[in-house]
Amino acid sequence: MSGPPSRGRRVLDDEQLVALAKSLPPPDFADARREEMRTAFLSTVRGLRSGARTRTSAGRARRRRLLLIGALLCAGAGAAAAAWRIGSASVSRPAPTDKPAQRPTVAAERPAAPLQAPAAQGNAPAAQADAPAAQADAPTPEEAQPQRHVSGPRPRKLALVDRREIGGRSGDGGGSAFARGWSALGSGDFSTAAAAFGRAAAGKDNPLTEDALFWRGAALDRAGRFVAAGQALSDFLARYPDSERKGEASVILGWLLVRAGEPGEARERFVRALDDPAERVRGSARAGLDAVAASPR
Amino acid sequence: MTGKAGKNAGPKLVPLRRVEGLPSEMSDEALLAACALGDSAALGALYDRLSPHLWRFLSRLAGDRIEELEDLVQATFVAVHRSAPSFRGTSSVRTWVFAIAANVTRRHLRDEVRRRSAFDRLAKLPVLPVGRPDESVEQRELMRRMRAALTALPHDLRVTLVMCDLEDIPGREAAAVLAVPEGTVYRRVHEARRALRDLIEEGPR
Repeated sequence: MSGPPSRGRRVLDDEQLVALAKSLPPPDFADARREEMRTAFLSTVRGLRSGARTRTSAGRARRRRLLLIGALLCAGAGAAAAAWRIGSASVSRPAPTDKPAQRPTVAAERPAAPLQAPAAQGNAPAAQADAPAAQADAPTPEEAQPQRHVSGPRPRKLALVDRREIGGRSGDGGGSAFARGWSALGSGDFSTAAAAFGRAAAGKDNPLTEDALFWRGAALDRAGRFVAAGQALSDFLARYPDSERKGEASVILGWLLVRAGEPGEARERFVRALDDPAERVRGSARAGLDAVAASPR
Repeated sequence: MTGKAGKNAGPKLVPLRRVEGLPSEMSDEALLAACALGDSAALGALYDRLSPHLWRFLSRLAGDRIEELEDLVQATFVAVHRSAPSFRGTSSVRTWVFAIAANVTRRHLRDEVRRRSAFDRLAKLPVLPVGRPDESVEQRELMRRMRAALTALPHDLRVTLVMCDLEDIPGREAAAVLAVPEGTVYRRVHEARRALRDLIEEGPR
């Protein structure tokens, strides 16, 4: 440090100051802990998505019911008012002896309408209150509101690291297996990745199943297990014919079929990928068609 | 991508042309765009790629308590997931995520109960004695002062200093994500450095 120390003071220029601040080491962020947090985060996102869908659909259904009830009550109130007017009109004329007997009946009906009307009005604010909640449930371009976390009761507002999910003990719907598969895929261990994705896709259908099935097929392909890869990708396309990955899966499968000496089927797969939104997929499909056309028959 | 086929007789092995675009091969912007469409794999890949940088950034912003940092990382990524459709490309994805983290941290620190003021923490640190020969201990003390001084900075100054000086984000980009004029960014950096220097060198009066 430059400058003579004087009563504990040191003179730091800007460069030294910044260098000192940069040299502060952050706490250790171990890979294993990062993977656990990643799994917890993806589970949180899954919960947020399903919760938003549930709340939105439940909110819509509730609003429909309330509107229907309100409409029926209004119709009932209108009918009662009309009946009251008719009854009043008939009472004002010189009535025969049996007419007064009708008055109590009409009068008895009238109080019922006002009693019902406030209830209908009372329901409207509830229906209106649903609207902001439903709107708030939709993802908005704002920062997080940690209190919306749905993975279990937590006393801490920002407790999004659900420690119950460490090791996948809480049944996170394949999230842990998917994370392990992803990690293995990134490190080139394709067989391990394929097995992990297979576990992630097994069991009950969940939001990760589609991705897991696709990546299982891709990992098997990369592992050189072409027959299994072909089967996996065929299964994926059969199960998710409208997936956003159908083009990519078709192209990979097409090339596998070319390798297996099935140009006819390969051509079919490439053709299906020609309208994929991604240019790289379309390009690969075109290349596949060229290869099929050029291959000897 | 073009496939090659042999011209001679016999079955020809056509080289497999794999479709590019694994999330690990995609740019940050492409990953974020995929996240905006609900791509879970892209979201996971973005998490893998940015979480170490975010951890370091938040440790400079909010201190070194691990549980707190973990919560802030998770809260930031949830916010990133929700805000992905609103990314406009006026900065890098990393800078944009840092700006979200800064806002998340601001709310977190505002809600946190701070029993001790930053100057109280500084008061507990020993003043560096004159002429002490043990440089490593002296350096450690200096680091402790620096960490406390960073924490003591006002949030806006601290965010700007960490972004521009410690994370090497250009002032223009920082200004875009912080929604302030570029001159304000440079002014804040200057004020932050001066305040930091005063806090480290002078201590409490």
